[in-house]
Amino acid sequence: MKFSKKAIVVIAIILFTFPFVYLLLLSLADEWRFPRFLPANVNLQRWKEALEGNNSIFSGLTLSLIIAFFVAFISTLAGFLISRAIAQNQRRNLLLFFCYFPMALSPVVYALLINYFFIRVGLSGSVAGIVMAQLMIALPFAILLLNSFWNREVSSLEDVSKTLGADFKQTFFKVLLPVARPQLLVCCFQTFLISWFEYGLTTIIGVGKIQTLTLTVYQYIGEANIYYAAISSCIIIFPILILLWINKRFIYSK
Amino acid sequence: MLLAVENIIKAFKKETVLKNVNFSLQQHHTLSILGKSGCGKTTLLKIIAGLVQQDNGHIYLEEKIIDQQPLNLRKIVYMSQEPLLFPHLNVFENIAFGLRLRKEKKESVEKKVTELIGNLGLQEHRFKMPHQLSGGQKQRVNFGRSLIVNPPLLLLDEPFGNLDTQTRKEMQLLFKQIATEFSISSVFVTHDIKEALLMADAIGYMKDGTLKVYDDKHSFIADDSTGVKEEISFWQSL
Repeated sequence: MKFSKKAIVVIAIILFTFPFVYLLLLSLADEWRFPRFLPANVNLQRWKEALEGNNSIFSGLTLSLIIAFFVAFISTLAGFLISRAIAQNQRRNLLLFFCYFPMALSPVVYALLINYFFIRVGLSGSVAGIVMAQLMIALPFAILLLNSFWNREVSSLEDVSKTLGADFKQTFFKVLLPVARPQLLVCCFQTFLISWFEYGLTTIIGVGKIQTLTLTVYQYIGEANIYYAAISSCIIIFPILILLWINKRFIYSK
Repeated sequence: MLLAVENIIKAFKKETVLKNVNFSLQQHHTLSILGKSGCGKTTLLKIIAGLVQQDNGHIYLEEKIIDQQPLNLRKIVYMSQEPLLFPHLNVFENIAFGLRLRKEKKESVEKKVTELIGNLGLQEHRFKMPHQLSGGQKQRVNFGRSLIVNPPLLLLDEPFGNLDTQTRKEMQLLFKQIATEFSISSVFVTHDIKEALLMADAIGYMKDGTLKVYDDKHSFIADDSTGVKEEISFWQSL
């Protein structure tokens, strides 16, 4: 019994870590051809090239970080305020129902629908346009996620704060934001992920001018450049692992 | 006169919860309002605090009309049945909350809060978080948090309703002691006859949205509709 439990754990660990180990190995391989079980040589040459600064991987990483940061920050903050307004509205359920619309559509179809308007206002092919387009998915998601925070207890805490003399600004910064901190961090994390791995919307609205890291990975795969695709994939996973660690260390532990 | 409530009417949809409520409260006095659940006691307190807007009538505090004043400017503290402490702040910071809002100096906050924590018997718990406290301790902190800002009027909505008998008794005594010490003016809502009699300088009975305030405790006891006589005869029959 004990042995079988241990075996399951070991198998689970292997299955979970295998893709990461494989990607890392592939990114370090000088050449790795079938039927070789392991690459003939491993070195850091490609990693050096990738991180040199004038490479599309490095610029993709920088761009992805900027876009994901703005999308996560804006959608979390705006989602917090909008979800509060919705929670206090008499037509709460109807308004929340509208928030499901962007998620019901495929991002590609969604992008095709909004692309015309983005071209008209000059947002197509710009970083601002990508942030705006991704916000149209991330913001409703944030609203839905944060909506459950606005329950009767929070409303009563708000009242307590006000009867003690706090105005809205003081209540917001001294009570609501600190109380909502765990939910806000989770929301920030989730919306960051939405933006980080977004492909369809970014491809169409970016019209090839905006190359995020995710798009770079697809590009290398399309070119059958598996070694660079592996490096990009490793880099794409790295910030997520850091966020997961922060989540585990600072949010779930509380 | 500290508080005057005139002709307050409030309806939720088709149901009229308060029907022309009138009463007044003198400075440093406690008015107990007794009544069954759903008779409109909480709505009345929330209207005075500014949490609910009345349909008709006026509220005067220290001779000034406060109907249109936002609740944070009314200086009236409302305490509900649930202690509702700020979950991200410890006991000390919960009590200091009102002082921090008023940007009082650090030393002054430290002195006032420490003194009040002593009065409330919470010395050992000053750095504990709300989830580490018992119901009675939470309510003590709630008292402290309300009292520290020295409000002209305190509204207590069944503050001991969730406590066990022994803790409830202790809290009643503590409230009496603090009310005298801090010269508190308050409206105390309860559905417990004994508590209403114990706490009050004046007493009122609320039924179906109307409030009757009695001249003294004897006239309250003598009124058949309050149910006090029934209660007395029950205990005597045992």
